[in-house]
Parts: sequence; C-alpha cells; structure tokens
Amino acid sequence: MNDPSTSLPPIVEAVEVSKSFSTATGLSARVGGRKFVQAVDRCSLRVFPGQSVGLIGESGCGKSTLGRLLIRLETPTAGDILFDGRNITRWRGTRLRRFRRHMQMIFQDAASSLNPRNTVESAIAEAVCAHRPELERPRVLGHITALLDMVGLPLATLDRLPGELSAGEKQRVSIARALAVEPRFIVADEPVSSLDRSSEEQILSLLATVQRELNVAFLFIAHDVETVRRMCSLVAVMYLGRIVEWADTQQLIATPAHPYSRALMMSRLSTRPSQKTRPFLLQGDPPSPLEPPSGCHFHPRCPHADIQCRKIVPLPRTTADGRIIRCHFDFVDGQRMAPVEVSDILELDS
Amino acid sequence: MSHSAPQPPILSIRDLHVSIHGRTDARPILKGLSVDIPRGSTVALLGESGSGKTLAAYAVLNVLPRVARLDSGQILFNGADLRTMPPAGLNRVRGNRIGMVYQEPSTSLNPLLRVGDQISETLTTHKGLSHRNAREQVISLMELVGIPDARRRYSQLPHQFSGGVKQRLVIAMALACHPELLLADEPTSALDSTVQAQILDLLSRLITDLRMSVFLISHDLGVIAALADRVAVLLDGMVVEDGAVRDVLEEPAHPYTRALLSGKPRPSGTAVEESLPASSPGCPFLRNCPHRLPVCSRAMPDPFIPKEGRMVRCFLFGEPPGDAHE
Ligand SMILES: Nc1ncnc2c1ncn2[C@@H]1O[C@H](COP(=O)(O)OP(=O)(O)OP(=O)(O)O)[C@@H](O)[C@H]1O
Ligand SMILES: Nc1ncnc2c1ncn2[C@@H]1O[C@H](COP(=O)(O)OP(=O)(O)OP(=O)(O)O)[C@@H](O)[C@H]1O
Ligand code: SF4
Ligand SMILES: [Mg+2]
Ligand SMILES: [Mg+2]
Repeated sequence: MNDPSTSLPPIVEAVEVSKSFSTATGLSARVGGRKFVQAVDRCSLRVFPGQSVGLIGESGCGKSTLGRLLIRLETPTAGDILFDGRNITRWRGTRLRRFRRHMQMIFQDAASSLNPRNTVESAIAEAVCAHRPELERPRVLGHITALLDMVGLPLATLDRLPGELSAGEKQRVSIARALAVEPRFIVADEPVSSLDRSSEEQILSLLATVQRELNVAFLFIAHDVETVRRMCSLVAVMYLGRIVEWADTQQLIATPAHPYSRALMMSRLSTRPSQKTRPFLLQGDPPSPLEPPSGCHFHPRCPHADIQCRKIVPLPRTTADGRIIRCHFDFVDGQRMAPVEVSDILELDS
Repeated sequence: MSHSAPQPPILSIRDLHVSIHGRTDARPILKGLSVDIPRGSTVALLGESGSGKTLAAYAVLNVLPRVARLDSGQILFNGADLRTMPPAGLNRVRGNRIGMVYQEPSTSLNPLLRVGDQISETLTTHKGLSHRNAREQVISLMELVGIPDARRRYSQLPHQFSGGVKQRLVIAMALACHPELLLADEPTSALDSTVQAQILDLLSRLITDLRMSVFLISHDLGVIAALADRVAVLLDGMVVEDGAVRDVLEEPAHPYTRALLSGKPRPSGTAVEESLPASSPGCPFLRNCPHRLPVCSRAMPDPFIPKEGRMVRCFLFGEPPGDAHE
C-alpha cells in the first residue's frame, strides 16, 4: 500500500490486535455456558501523522472496538498497539490517563458519552483545563467560545445540559470537547451520522482543516463511504472482526475487490427517486459474532464462495494493484479468477 | 395515492406551536407546523439539525421534555384530538397503535435491563401476552430486524450491542405491537449500507403488508427517496415546501430546499447578511436567499399550491403580492 510520502513513523499502529468479550450475564452464563464474542480478530492498521484513514463495514463488525483499542480505551486480548513508536499495549492508570491527551475519541453515541449533569460549558472546560491547567478562567472561557464557534453552535448552548440538546447538537459538543485538548490522533466514530447535509459539510471541513493545519491524524469510522471519501485517501473495510480490504478510497469506490466490499458499494442508496431501483440486497443473515462462520467469515453470503472458502481462513495478501485483501480469489469486472495459490495462503481453520 | 372516497389522514398535525422555556427566556421552536399523513403512506419531515423534528414527534406522543411547552395546535389521530383525549385512552394509543423509533437508542433502552425483556414488556402491557409468548415473539422480532443469534442475545444488556444493533433493537421495540402509525426518527442513521438496505426493505414490506403509515424523520435524502411518498421541508418551525417525494427532490421549488439538497443552505459571511436586521418579520431564509425580493423582508409568504398535492411558501411563486413592486 502506498504510504504517505513521509519518512516519519506511524503515529499509531495496531499489530495483529484482537479483542474478545465475554457475553456472560447472569442466567445466560449458566444456561449457555461462557461465550465469547471475537469483536476484533487480528487486525493490523497504521495511521501516519496528519493522515486520515477511513474504517467502514457492517454494523457490529467491530469498528468502534478497534477504534477504542487504538487509543487504549480497551485492552487488547492479543497483539500490540504502538503510539508514536512506543508500545502502549499494557499501559494503565495515571500513565495512560496522562497520555490520553494525545489521543481522543469522538464517540458514536454522543448522548451517553456526555455527563447528563454537566453543562456544555463545564464539559468543554473540563477538557480545556485538563489540557492547559495554567490557563486563567477568562482565557478558558475564550477557548470554549472559540471551540463552540468552530463546531457551529450558538453561545446560548453554553449553559445547557446534554438532555437539552438535539442529537446533532450533542454530536457537535463531543467534537468540540475532543478538539479542546489539541490531540495528535483522533478516533472519530461516526462523527456526522446524525447531521443533515449542511451541518455535515461544516463538520467535515472543520475536521479537514484541523487535520491539515494542526497535523492531527484521524481514524474516521463511518458507515457511509461518501463521508470517508471526503476525508480519507485510504480506507479499511471490516467484516465480522477482520479487515477484509485495505485500499485507496477512490479505488475502492470504483472497483471494490473483496466480495463484501462490492456488496457494500452496491447497496448504497440513490437520492434520486426517479432512479428508484431497488437497492441491492445482500443475501443471507448477518452472521452471529458468537458463532462466526468457518473459513472466510463471509462465505455463507458470498456469491463466489467455493470449497476452500468454507475451510480455509483467507490471510491478508497484496493484490497486483496494491491493495491488501482477505479473499481467496481475484476478480476482474466482478468475475472470479482462478484461485490464488493455496499454498501461499494456507492456514487451516481449527 | 388512492382515488377512493377521501379518508381522514391517520395523523394530522395542525398549526403546532412548541416553545422551549429556559431559565431566562422562551424560545419558539415550532411555529405553526402542519403535516398530514394519509393512511397507508409514508411522509418524511426534512430539516436541519436542531430544527425541531424530534420535538414534533415527541409532541405527537405527548412526551415533550419538561421545559418544552405545546402552546397551541391540534394533533389528530384518526380524526380524534390526542391533546384532549383522556389519559387512559392516550396510553392505549401510545405504544400500541403508534410506535416510535427513537433517534438515540439510549433514550429508549434501559442500560440495566436485558434487552429482550425491555421489548417484551410492551407486549405484555399492551397486548396482554404471557411472558413466555411475549418472549418467543420478541425473539422472532429480533430476527426480523436482522439480529443474529436472537435467542441468546435476548438476555444481553444494551452496552453489549454495537451502535447499529441497538438501533435495530429500537426498531424491533417500535414494531412489537404492530402499530398502525410508526414515528421513525432517523431510523437507519447508524447503519451501514447493506444493513440499511435490509431494514428499509423490511419497513417497506411492513408498510405494504400491514398498511402501516409512517412519519419519517430523516436528514438522509437517500432514505427519504427510498421510503417516503411525500416530503415536508421544515424551516424555522414551519413547513416551507411539501409535495410528492419525486417532485420535491427532483424539482425543488423553494430556494431553501434547493440549497438544502445541494448541501449549502447557509453560505456564511455574505455582505447582504450583515446589512439585514437580525430578526425581521419576513421569510426566514431571507438572509441567505440568492433570489430575494423587496417584499421578502416584510411578510411571511402564504402557502401557494402550484398543483394538487404540492405547496410552497415563497414569494417567487404564485400571484405577486399587492406591494411586491415598489
Ligand atoms: N429538553 C430540552 N431543553 C432545552 N432545549 C431543547 C430540549 N430538547 C430540544 N431542545 C432544543 O430544541 C431544538 C429542537 O430540537 P430537536 O431535538 O427537535 O431537533 P432535531 O430537528 O430533532 O435535530 P437533530 O437532527 O439534531 O436531531 C434544538 O435547538 C434543541 O437544542
Ligand atoms: N462490552 C461488550 N460486551 C460484549 N460484547 C460487546 C461489547 N462491546 C461490543 N461488543 C460486541 O462486539 C461486536 C463489535 O461491536 P462494535 O461496537 O465494535 O461494532 P461496530 O462495528 O462499531 O458497529 P456499529 O456500526 O453498529 O456501531 C458486536 O458484536 C458487539 O455486540
Ligand atoms: S474467500 Fe471465498 S467466501 Fe470469502 S469473500 Fe472470497 S470468494 Fe467469497
Ligand atoms: Mg460502532
Ligand atoms: Mg432529532
């Protein structure tokens, strides 16, 4: 993959990270036995300083979890997280908390990430003061006002509680808060999903400016490849815990290589009612993360699945046009080509 | 729409005024919102973030936040005013005949209770089902909205679900009682395109099979194009344009709608903007409108009906008002 023309090391790197959750809750733990959700399954990803990488994929496939792992809001069950060359995989407590000012998250669920009893002013002030304890009160307020203005909220918002804001307004407060500490890396988890087009436009250009001028790197999680296209030159596609394609964004949109990526691109809606073709429907049910399919996780829904897809986990491999995909086959114009040499990719699924 | 004898709309919101009363001031949010939802059809409300779409849905269900006041207006459900209905009747309607998909899953899911029990509660209270039957129905509902392994996930807690799966749970909860009217507030805004396509497909099947009517709140033009029959455009608390989805999205009339569709309703910092008084009695889009006429700053344009089933409130359309030319 063509990394940005920089000799700098990645600001953040995930090396084969995995995360599983126990699903045991009370009764079910006793009845069904202990079960694990493999939310993230050996994912590797690099983001360079000032770069913005997109992450898209099926709902529930582990995007938020991967984002949380990168900034160590979760601890991986396997693999390593490197930040600026330092291995922070096992960091804990104060050391991690102090480090956190370098890496922030814009949470997907703004409603539950804001303390319901804190006004907008104190939520942002908290972040500003943690970052620059030396600032005096009037300067803090100046900072907060500037931040609000940047995210397009009126000053009257300052003394409101999260419960008194619309969904999009909350989303913007959480963006303001993440920007307050001037981090070097931000995981933006669906930052514009509850915004109308014009507010989305405003936030995306704000984030693009921040990225450019302050050299902040982003992992940009979205469910819509259009928003990713605006922000990111590179994008990772995830399916059930695994990164199945890693490509140039334009390339992915024009010619998705992995069969799941293709389904994802084809099911996008048209905004023109007269072209109301029925959106493409991916066949089959979403897989259960509790009992993932064998071999390639996508095989029960894949129109190209063959015997090895059921048996063998496809490993990441680089294609002729420079992407990394996890599929046994190459495709030309949607037609399946001869399988990739199996001995290259052999890893039996136990 | 059907050509048979006119039926009253399943939901008719008439001249709704809602304001927010802060510690120091009162802010009008909805200033005469009127929307009709004909039985069996899907009507979308399109508006910017913070324009009052969610409050409009809350007003219908009578669950406005404490600081919000419904100042005036009517909310007719099958012709009966919900505002004057006795509480017992209202409770029967709410949750049973009207279902709501909440925009933020955290407002409708209790973090401490098993998700399945939360959905089945609506069935035991509204439909009088036994716990056992309710449980089975909930499991098939969860499967219907595409939650794999529903039986096992019935007993999980909300935080164990991803954002998109929580949104599907909320849809399942709203559909539990087979409501006649569904209020769907951004029902798919957290979903990727493949799951979104499945949910929209499910909703459009339910709309046809159960003759369900839908009040769809969305900022996503793709979702509106896929699901809605009609669309109403909300600006400054009022509907400034409405009509068949096809007409409005493909040939928007109101300058605000045109700007909204192109993603740029508020060009910032233009010189004209500065020269206009902050609050004028005229058209709310005045300050950003490229087609402004002298009359636009003096009065709010009346609704103009260019053809049946289409309405626009803008001085560029219809008879020029008496004093348009000075
Ligand atoms: N409980 C409340 N207290 C004070 N103000 C509120 C409250 N609820 C909503 N508001 C305000 O009322 C306005 C309309 O809110 P509403 O939630 O209806 O917007 P919306 O159109 O649904 O926006 P979004 O697309 O962002 O969800 C917003 O400016 C919001 O800040
Ligand atoms: N605390 C937890 N306990 C148990 N399971 C969890 C927990 N957090 C996440 N999961 C599970 O891990 C998987 C991945 O969840 P995640 O939130 O990362 O998905 P996502 O890709 O962000 O989805 P969405 O687009 O819907 O937000 C899901 O199956 C989810 O149910
Ligand atoms: S490995 Fe097989 S099942 Fe998986 S995506 Fe490729 S062709 Fe489809
Ligand atoms: Mg998520
Ligand atoms: Mg809302």
